[in-house]
Amino acid sequence: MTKNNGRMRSASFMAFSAAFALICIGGCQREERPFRVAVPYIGPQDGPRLSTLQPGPEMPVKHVRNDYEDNAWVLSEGKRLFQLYNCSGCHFNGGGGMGPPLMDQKWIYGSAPEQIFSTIMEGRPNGMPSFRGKIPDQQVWQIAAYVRSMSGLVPIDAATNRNDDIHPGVQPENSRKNVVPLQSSIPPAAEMPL
Amino acid sequence: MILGPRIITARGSGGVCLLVATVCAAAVLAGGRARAATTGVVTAVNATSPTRTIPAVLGTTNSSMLLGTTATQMILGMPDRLETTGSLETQLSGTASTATGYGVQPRSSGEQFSTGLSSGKREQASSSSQAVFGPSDAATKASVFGTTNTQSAIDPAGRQAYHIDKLYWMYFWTLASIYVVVLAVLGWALLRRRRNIFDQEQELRAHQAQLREAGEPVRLAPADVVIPRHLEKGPVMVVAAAVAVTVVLLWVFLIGDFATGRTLNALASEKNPLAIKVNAQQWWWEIKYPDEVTTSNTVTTANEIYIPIGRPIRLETQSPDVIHSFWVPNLAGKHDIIPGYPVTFFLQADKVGTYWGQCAEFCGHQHAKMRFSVTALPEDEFQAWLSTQRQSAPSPSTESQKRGQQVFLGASCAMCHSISGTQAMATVGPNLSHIASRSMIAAGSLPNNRGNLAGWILDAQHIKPGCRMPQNNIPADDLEALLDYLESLK
Repeated sequence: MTKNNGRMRSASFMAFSAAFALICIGGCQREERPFRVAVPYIGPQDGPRLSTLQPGPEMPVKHVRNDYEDNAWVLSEGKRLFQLYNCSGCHFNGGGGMGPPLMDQKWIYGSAPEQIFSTIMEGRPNGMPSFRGKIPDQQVWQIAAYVRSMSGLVPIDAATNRNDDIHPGVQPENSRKNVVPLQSSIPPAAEMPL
Repeated sequence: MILGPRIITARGSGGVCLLVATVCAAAVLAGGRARAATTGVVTAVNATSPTRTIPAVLGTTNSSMLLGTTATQMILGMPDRLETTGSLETQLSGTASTATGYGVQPRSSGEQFSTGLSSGKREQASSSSQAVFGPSDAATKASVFGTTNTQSAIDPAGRQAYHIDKLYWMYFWTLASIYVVVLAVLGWALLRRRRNIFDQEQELRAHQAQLREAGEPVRLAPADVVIPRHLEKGPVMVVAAAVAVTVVLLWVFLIGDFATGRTLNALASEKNPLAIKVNAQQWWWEIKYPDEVTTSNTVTTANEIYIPIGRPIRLETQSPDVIHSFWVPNLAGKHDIIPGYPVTFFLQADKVGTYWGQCAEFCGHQHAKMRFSVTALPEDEFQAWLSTQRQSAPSPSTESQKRGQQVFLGASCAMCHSISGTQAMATVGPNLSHIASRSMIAAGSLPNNRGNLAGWILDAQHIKPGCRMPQNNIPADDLEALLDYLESLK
């Protein structure tokens, strides 16, 4: 009886250790810091379209995958850059002010990584400036990843839960549950001028 | 019989201990002597070894820095400026103002403040027995050759460091002599003959034999066998003396500590301090010389602090990210800089020279490359430097420089850096208004020359992985123009 008990105990201990090790291994790459890394590539057919009209049959929409979104460090870098490049000057800490809020489920120009990338790079009518050539590509991808994290669109285990420095700061990105992004209609004031 | 082998073993291990201790003591003493030799008269040291070869240089300081430079120069096909000839005398003489220390671009000798002491002062300096250096390339070179310690707490160049140095040597010599005395006593105890114990054992055996003969029960230690009084007195005296000496020494140390602390703080109450703001961040130092009256006269620079000698400097420090520590060993002790908690402290330099500083609190990836320099100048030369720094950045004069300015303002540079007199006014990265007047870039990581600057702009993440400077994709001709512009910002 006691022998059996001991065996069971050691077996459960082994199982627990194995599970613990697995969990630890799973977390290994969470905070890997890719200082020099190739940025996601947008092919000629992958970029966002500014019009829904297409000649001929409609092409399937193919979204770019932003590998940065799995990485907690990159997300925290994106957060730092979001403040540094004064995105927060208009969007505040995601709640929106002069610019639209980023932590809700409404997206005027799309929620896909390449759409956000293009919004930052090209700018949008009525206020969103174009940062092309002003911010290096890899940093724009980092900011795009962070922007998506604010409405819970990145894996929950990668969403940053602290800044990479001593000040805790504001954290909309881990107070948001994953919400289904909705394509809002473009407000008349923000339509592309013809 | 029983004690015999034990004593032998004890003697064996004691011998080993003694051997180790002697070697250690010899090493310490030899080190002390070597230090005395190197910190002696600079000219004398140079006279004995006027020429040093590059391997010797690489062995002394900043080998990675020098290697990096050579590599960059080889890649860019630039002439190698690492040749090392002449003694410090020639380096300090007029010709040396154009000599280049480890690849720093030569500067025109017309700029008195950046080429260092005037020749008259130089002669005076080299004739005095102190190691005196200007902020010139020659001085940097001299420091690279190891003729003085520009980053050493036991080579003080300021009042505070002097007192810390005194305290250090007091501790060192006191503790070293205690160490020697203790080891001597230990050696004596191990080596002397232990006659008393043998005698006692004989006595004990005789007593037990007597008891056995008388038919009485044999006790291991009879009450009447005691250690004689006269044998006990000695050890008691020795222990009492040791305790007394310990207590006295602890008091001496305590008083010494308090006295040193007071002297260090005395600087705070002196008149006419110069205020400098230091913003320590990952992984560089922003330096500001505030001007309360005319705020536009505030000078902002990075990583290279200039101070006048003989005047207390009030450093108002803060950190926006993590804990750093401000440490210039030649001038003062370490001061932690804690985010959200502005700290003010004082230091003073009494000897002209350029001293290395280093962040002394681990602060992340590039903690080791978070260096800075403090250049102490006579008051008038310091004022000349300050007034030059106060001017706006020189406007571009050639076509290439003009194009370079456009590149700077149009590319990502202007998002983080500022250059006075232009639209670039960001405060995220170092202020580049007078970048060409600095001798190093990337917080003391690399000498400031064209090749290093190019490498830094294109791929800073290779030189200093994790730093805040991103990789930049700038076309070759734009880069050349940009470098022309940056090199014109004296």
